[in-house]
Amino acid sequence: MNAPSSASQHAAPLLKVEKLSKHFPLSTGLFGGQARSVRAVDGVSFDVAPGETLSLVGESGCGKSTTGRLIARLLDVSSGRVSFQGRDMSHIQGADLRALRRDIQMVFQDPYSSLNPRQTVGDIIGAPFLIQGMTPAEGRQAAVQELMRRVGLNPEHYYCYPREFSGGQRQRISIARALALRPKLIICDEPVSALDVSVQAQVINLLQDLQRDLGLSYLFIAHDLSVVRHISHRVAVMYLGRIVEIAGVGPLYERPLHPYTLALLSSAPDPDPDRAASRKRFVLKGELPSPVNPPDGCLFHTRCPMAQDKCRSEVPALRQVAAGRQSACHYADQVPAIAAG
Amino acid sequence: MFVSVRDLKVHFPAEEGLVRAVDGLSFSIERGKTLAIVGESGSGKTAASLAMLGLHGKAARISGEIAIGDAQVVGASESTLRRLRGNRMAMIFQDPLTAMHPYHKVGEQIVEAYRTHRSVTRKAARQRTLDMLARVGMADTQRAFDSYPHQLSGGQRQRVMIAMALCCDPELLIADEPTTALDVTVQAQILDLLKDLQREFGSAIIMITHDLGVVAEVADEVVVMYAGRAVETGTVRDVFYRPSHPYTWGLLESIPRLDHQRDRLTAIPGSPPSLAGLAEGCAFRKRCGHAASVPDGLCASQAPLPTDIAAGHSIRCHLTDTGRAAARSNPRQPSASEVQP
Ligand SMILES: Nc1ncnc2c1ncn2[C@@H]1O[C@H](COP(=O)(O)OP(=O)(O)OP(=O)(O)O)[C@@H](O)[C@H]1O
Ligand SMILES: Nc1ncnc2c1ncn2[C@@H]1O[C@H](COP(=O)(O)OP(=O)(O)OP(=O)(O)O)[C@@H](O)[C@H]1O
Ligand code: SF4
Ligand code: SF4
Ligand SMILES: [Mg+2]
Ligand SMILES: [Mg+2]
Repeated sequence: MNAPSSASQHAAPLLKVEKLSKHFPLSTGLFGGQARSVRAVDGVSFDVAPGETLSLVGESGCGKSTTGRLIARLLDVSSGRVSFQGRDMSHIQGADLRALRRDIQMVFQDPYSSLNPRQTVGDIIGAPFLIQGMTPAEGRQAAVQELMRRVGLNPEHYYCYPREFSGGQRQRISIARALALRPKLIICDEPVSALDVSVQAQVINLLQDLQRDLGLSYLFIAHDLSVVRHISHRVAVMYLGRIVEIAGVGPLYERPLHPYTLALLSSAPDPDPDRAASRKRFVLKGELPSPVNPPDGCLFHTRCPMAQDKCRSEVPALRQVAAGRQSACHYADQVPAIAAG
Repeated sequence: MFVSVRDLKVHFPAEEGLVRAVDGLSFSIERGKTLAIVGESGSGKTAASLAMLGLHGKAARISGEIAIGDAQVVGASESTLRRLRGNRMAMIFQDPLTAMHPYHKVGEQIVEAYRTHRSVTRKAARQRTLDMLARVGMADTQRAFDSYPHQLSGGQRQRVMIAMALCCDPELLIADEPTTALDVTVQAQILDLLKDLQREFGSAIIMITHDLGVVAEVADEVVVMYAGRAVETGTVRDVFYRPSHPYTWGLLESIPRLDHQRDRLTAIPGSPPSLAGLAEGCAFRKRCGHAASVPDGLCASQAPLPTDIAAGHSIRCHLTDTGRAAARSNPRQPSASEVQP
């Protein structure tokens, strides 16, 4: 996959996220006291260019889905700002919100539970037209059948039900539905994780074809680091609700500048036995701290093999550490030496 | 050979026809070695491992031979099986919660499991449990002992499960997707732990997974399953560097890589077949780009038998040596096929 042209990288971002936070309040205990909350997303900033794929990676619970749902406005923002095409969308309502829903769509992990079993495929894919109260010029059925063709489904199956389709085909149905209103950004939350290995590649190829043909942007959430390498232009690594590193996909995989990125990459299973046997592992000790009670200083210091005293007291800001690269580590420049051993 | 499985069949009578969950599986393992069984959802991996432990209910029709050391599993009495399960083999499941009692302390559960199979005092069993918890890397063993399953993280529960499985020094450990639900960082810890314990105790391990990365990390020998049959069997280097079955080719070409970006993934068209009433012939033929180069429509009429193509390397495919070489030099470019539900 090619990187987006330099023109699009310098173009105004399609999506701009600034200091976005979501704190879920926990029910206060019997003794009142200070209300505690889960800092699911805590001051996250990034942007996505037209035609670009930005991936969010990180361990379970680090806030990837919450970030996606905030941007799609399926959740209310606690603080910070989401701008789409230069307009602040963080608190819009009513007709403005409905218009935003045309531009930003979501595709979820589980094609089984995200489709209504009692609706025909035609009704599922055509639902966005109804919700928006619009009829495509060529008629709803023709428009839906064109979408079905576009995602590799047989248009003759318009009247079939989801149970008659395999997992990969169901994910094609969700993708067709997401495309109906010609969105500019699709948030894909683990879109291939539930699919069989032999079917994943079909859906990944489809997503890439659609991006090429329609100029779509993707915010891609996934835990499979090989899939992320394949599909992304840039990658943001999250840890306990914050972004710890963000960079172009090649530089990030080849020369990580945050110890957490290094740990993630060196833990990812590599489907090549000789390389797997010879590579240097950087296995993390300990457990992910609770987002209710995150550590002081650098959030990663409890597991970081590079941690110094400074890390326990001073929060490292996400800062530019090289051209097009940001890292939230006090000692980012020392990471390559650690990686080399 | 310590473990030897010959022509294992696990069939379930069902309304839609006989479900051949496992249909003629053969492999063997030496002590201290790891065999990976890799296959997609529904390919029969769990059905095969439950057969090895003699854990199938009455509905299953099981035939063939499973030898663990000098003991035979198929046809063994329930008391023989119980003894085998405690003393010679143990299993780790994907979801430890299904194997643990929710309202008993995990330490007590290990003590119970140990005392069922060894006549030792409660005090000795308790000490053994604490030792095992330390051995699997639980930091505070006393606290771990006194925890209930829901108080532990996913990774900790999997460690406890491994401690329980290993407390009786099994000679054979069957691990069914032990890390599928875990983050890559924790997965790396658990896989390393299993390797260490194997080195220490010399157990044979059967690792069941759908992840070719995990296979490359841990396996000495590999069985690739498709629709209940082993389509390719060989050493890990045979399967990754000299793959010889069209399905294995398809899998290896369709997965994205961690070390470089592929231009485009070569997807296997279609989806895995339903096992109920699977017709004659090769189960992969509808997705195989090479069936046309096999004469006489053999792929549709006859199921290929296992054939040795080198010492210890066998496949089930009708392609001849020359046919295979030609197929390999001319990789199939599957059309973006429109797949039928
Ligand atoms: N509605 C909610 N109420 C309270 N806490 C929540 C809610 N939704 C998410 N959280 C918490 O917020 C944190 C981030 O969750 P999120 O689902 O965004 O993680 P994720 O990175 O998508 O994880 P996964 O990889 O498991 O999908 C977690 O600690 C989660 O428990
Ligand atoms: N008790 C049963 N009765 C009828 N069919 C069964 C039974 N157990 C398993 N099967 C069928 O046997 C086939 C193989 O199932 P199995 O659970 O072994 O697959 P698997 O390879 O472990 O898949 P997964 O990766 O999803 O765990 C499936 O088609 C399943 O529906
Ligand atoms: S700031 Fe310190 S603790 Fe945090 S990642 Fe860098 S070295 Fe590790
Ligand atoms: S037997 Fe025929 S259909 Fe089956 S894998 Fe070989 S060539 Fe393909
Ligand atoms: Mg999520
Ligand atoms: Mg299974």
